[in-house]
Amino acid sequence: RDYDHLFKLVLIGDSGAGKSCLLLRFADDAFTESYITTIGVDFRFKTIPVDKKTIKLQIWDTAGQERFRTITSAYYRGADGIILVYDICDRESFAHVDEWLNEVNRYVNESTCKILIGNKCDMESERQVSTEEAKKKADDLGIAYIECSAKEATNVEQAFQMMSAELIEKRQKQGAGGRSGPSAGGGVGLLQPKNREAGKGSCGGLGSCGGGD
Amino acid sequence: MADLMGAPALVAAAVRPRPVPVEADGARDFLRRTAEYTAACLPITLMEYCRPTLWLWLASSANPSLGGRRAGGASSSGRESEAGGEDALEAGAQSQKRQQHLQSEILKDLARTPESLLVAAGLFEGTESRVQRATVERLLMTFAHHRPDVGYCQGLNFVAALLLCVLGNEHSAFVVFCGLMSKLPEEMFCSDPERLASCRLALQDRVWRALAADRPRLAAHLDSIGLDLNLFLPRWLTTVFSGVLSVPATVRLWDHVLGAGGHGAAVRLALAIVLRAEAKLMQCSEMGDVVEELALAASQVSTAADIDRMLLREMPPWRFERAEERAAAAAAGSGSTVFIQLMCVLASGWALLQGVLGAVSASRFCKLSSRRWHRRRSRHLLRGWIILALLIPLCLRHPPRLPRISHLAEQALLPLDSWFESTDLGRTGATASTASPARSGLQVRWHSVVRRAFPAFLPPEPWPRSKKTSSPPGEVLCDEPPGPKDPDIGGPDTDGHGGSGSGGDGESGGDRPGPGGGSSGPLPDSKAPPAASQSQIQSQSQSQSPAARLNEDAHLRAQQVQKRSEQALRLRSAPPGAKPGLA
Repeated sequence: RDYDHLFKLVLIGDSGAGKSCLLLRFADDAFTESYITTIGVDFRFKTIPVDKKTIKLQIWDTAGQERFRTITSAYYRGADGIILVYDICDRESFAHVDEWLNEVNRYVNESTCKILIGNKCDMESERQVSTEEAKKKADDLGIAYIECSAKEATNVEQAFQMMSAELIEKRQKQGAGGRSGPSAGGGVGLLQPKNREAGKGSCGGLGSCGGGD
Repeated sequence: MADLMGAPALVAAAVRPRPVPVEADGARDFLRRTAEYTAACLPITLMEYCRPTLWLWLASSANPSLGGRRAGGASSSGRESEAGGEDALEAGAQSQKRQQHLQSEILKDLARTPESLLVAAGLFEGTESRVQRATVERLLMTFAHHRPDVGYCQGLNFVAALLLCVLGNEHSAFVVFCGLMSKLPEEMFCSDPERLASCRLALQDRVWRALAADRPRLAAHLDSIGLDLNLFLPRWLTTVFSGVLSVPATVRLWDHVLGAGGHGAAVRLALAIVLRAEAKLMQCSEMGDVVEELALAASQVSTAADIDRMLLREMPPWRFERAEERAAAAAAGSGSTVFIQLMCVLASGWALLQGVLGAVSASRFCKLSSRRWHRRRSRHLLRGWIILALLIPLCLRHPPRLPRISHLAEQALLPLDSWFESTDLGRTGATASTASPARSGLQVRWHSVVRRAFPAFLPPEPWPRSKKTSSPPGEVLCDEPPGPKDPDIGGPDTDGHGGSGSGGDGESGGDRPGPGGGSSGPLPDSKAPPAASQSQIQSQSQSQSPAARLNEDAHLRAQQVQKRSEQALRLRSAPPGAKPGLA
């Protein structure tokens, strides 16, 4: 095993927000104008060093069209982190952030890491969503926010670094909690589906409980 | 920008009512079936000449909604606009918003449609590519209007683009598009996420089970890797392989899909591709490698003849059905079926042997007069009859799956087809070198005869290659379609003859056995390509590269590269008007 942690990340967001381009930039450090529509799903591995640790990221790229929602949901069920992408030049994709987050929250537990990415920040002249507005929204939702550009490679690496750091922290916390016995970790895992079934309302409380373990 | 008002008018034009007597339904059905089999059976070279017509015919007769309207004879434009009017009354601004959303979705994806599909046939050379994209947009908008339950689904942009390129005519492209959609499972594209997901899941399950039944070891290996079929199957099936295979191959597949094969043809091709890559897949240990290998295997299917070989030999319908049946039996938990079938085979063999022994003992080789021989003969025959009598009820319960007559006919036509492609008659004539290195003499002659007889009927040029496959520039040059052509002969109004000349490109190379090594074709290729066409094969990048990869012989490869570059040089001087898309 040549890594310390393996995390599964899922890129979601409206069609045309630039998910595939972000992935291509991050995984292969490349960009192409003539990208083709993602049909089905795609995935890449990338190993990055974070805090003297080697992190292997398995990143899934999904199709953004609304009708693929159910198919996509299968992917963020087992994900450690969700990367929600919108296009800063497209107000609609920003407006759909709430919907996406609702959808995600139906399937994942609250301890799953989430991050909001405003893509295409190189196209300042066509910007439709201001940074302040997005930041405010991210604060309201309680998730991290970063603006990046796949085309010019601004902040792409940082976004994934941020995510990984947060995930490591969470995993270490969990590990510290579960050190008392191997069954404890399993216990948390067993709890989660239950609270998912219990309903969305109680999800938050139990989730924070699990985090405190 | 397609104005929304234009869409119904286009539908109306496309489904122009034609008086069809109702009582002709039986005959129509018969004709349709005939045409369906024709599409799959007709030799590729002949198919090139009648493809647009046949497609149009198949699509309009297979599509009940278009056909119904046509049979009804009512002005469909009136109905369309009525429906539109009601919609507008009911939903008002909301529907307009939906339309805008639809349009923005389509526009987004149009920008992300591979260029190779848009310029594929080179029919729109003189015009800007923007015009072409607008055409695709119009087609997709029209379809969304025509089928509100589907609207626009990602992946259809590929299909629409290629269809427009092939047919070159919006109206026929729309009808064929609808026909193609009616051949595919209804829910594969529907706008309801739940139904769409369940349909696609069922499809994946079907493919997986058939694979597991046919190749249990491969399936187990892929399962241990944790392969997710979503990584490649939707890309293949929802676009019906457009942009995955080369253009001639895709078009040939569509012949099958529109014809008798239906959606099953696409599924079978997917399986056949997986089977071709079997040997390499068995060596993969990571999901990423598997996906890459599969993409490579798919891109290596480059010629129309390859498609025929895969669909009729490597994964013929009866084999697929048998695999599915076995999978169903395995799922039902009745593992005894295999045993019973095995017993049937053994018993019938035994019965046959007894019959032969009986016949031998009755023949004049044995002493007929001898009572011992006589007794033995009757004993043999009796045994044979008893076993047969036991066998019949067994067979009735588990009917053995034999290839159907139509499948056999298709198979019988295969060699004819490959003969047609690889035939080398009259290649000595200088015509071959002027037209294309890959085009054999008979085809050239055929082409010129048809061109002389029906100047309007013949397309200006044979199929270009898709530029998707990663090949060095030298090879791409070799693949160039023949030079003599004028760019604007096939303007937008060449009423659906764009899709013909798949020419000789790579078809002479088509005789090569499957590249995967583990190709499952029951028969190895019956004949080797003639020596003269060997040099042509060298020029085929797609057919050459897998062989080179298999060899791993650096020396040989160096030689090939040298030869190829020589050919490229020769070619470079040959075509006066090179295709802009390939440059």
